[in-house]
Amino acid sequence: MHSSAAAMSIEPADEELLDRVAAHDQSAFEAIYLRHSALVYSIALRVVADPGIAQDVAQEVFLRVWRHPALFDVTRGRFVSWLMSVARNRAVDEVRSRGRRRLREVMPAPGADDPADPQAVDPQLAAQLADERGEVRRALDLLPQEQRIAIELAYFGGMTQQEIASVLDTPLGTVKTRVRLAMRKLRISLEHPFDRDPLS
Amino acid sequence: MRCDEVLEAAEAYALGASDAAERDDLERHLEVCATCRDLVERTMLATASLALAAPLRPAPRLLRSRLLRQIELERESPLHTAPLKRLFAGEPGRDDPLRYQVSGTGHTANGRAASRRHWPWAQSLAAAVAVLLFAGCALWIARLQSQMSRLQARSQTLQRITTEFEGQRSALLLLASEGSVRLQMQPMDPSSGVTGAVIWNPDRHKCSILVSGLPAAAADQTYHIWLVGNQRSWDSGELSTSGTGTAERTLDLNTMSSQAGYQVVVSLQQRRSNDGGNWQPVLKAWVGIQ
Repeated sequence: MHSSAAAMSIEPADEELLDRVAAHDQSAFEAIYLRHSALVYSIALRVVADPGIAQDVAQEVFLRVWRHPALFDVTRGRFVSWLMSVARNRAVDEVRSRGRRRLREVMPAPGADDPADPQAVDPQLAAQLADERGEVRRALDLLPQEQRIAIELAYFGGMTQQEIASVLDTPLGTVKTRVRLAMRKLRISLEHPFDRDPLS
Repeated sequence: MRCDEVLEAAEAYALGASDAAERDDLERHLEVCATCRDLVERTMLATASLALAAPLRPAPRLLRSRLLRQIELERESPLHTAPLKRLFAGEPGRDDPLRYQVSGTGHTANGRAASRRHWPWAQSLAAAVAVLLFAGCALWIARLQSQMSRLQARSQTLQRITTEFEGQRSALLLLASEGSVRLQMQPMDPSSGVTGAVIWNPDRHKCSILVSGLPAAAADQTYHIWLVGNQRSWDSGELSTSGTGTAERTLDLNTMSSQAGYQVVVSLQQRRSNDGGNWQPVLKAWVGIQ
């Protein structure tokens, strides 16, 4: 995995912005929001499949960043990795607490027509993540279909292996094997995707 | 849980797909084993990149204004801080996504208002209103739960139908493709009422198997598809049947392209058998050059 060629950025790193957020610097928080809101919203939307609920989830995630910036431990990896985990986990929690499994709305859901925020795009980060997004999708496409379905139902559907086995009418042992094999292949394919500083 | 068992369970845990018992077992082990904790954290960080598979959508403008308004309110008065929802419904614990299944309790901002107004009558009125609201909400929640149960059942049915539809769609597309031929399958027992057909496209190296009238397999048995030719046989996987005895699978036959011809066999066999064991052929069809 190689990052796209880009000029050296003069934008502050996420960690520096977080230090300023801890000092209640709202401009630093807005910078973090503009840089990562599309990613957080997209992850939430993919899981909950409802634009209104996805907005709620994204708001919760960023409020968490505002109120408790110290929750992110820089020794554990990149802020964007942590942020994606928080977004996905919060979205799955929302799905589970509502007791539904990604029901697709037939009619447009509230918030579906909300205009997009044109400023909430970081071109440099978007380019970096586009490369990595392509690699993640290629890695998923290389999986056998049954393994890919199991991973997507678990990761984006928030289902346990038992629930996946029930939905697919497949033995639990088979599902466990598919998940284990798929994750090992993905770990090899996606090893160290965030070792590179996205702003370098 | 032992360390070697953690290796097996780490992937599912990182996905959040462990069942409750396995999750609790693993987390107890992680509390005392730094090596396994490091392994699981690395696995979870690698899993985080899966989020990038989500299609990128710009956040609505409304979200930013809502967020900034909330922050402004909190800066002006801590009273306006709404508690964050628990990260995961379930056990309390640190608010940390790397403690995957351990949820945080609702946090409130520091410095919640120290001053309070002493209006006893207002408090009594508020309490009465709260009780009435609570009763109303409880009834409403009970109705919602009933509706959600019905929706959940319907969703599962739709999921099953969608899966079946996708299988049928693949077969129809292959049938419509240029160069496809239809081959009738022969039942081993003509009186069984089981019928089947193979849609074979030699140019695309694909075939679809469509079967109807299959009796339900016993709990320890399953239907499989085998490709048999040149004194060898290849297991093409399980053939899942619907509740009405129909089944369809579309196979990629690239590995068979060197074979002049082979039998496509639908078999009934023991569920845990890797080599087919005492598999019983149910339907067969010859594919290829006679």
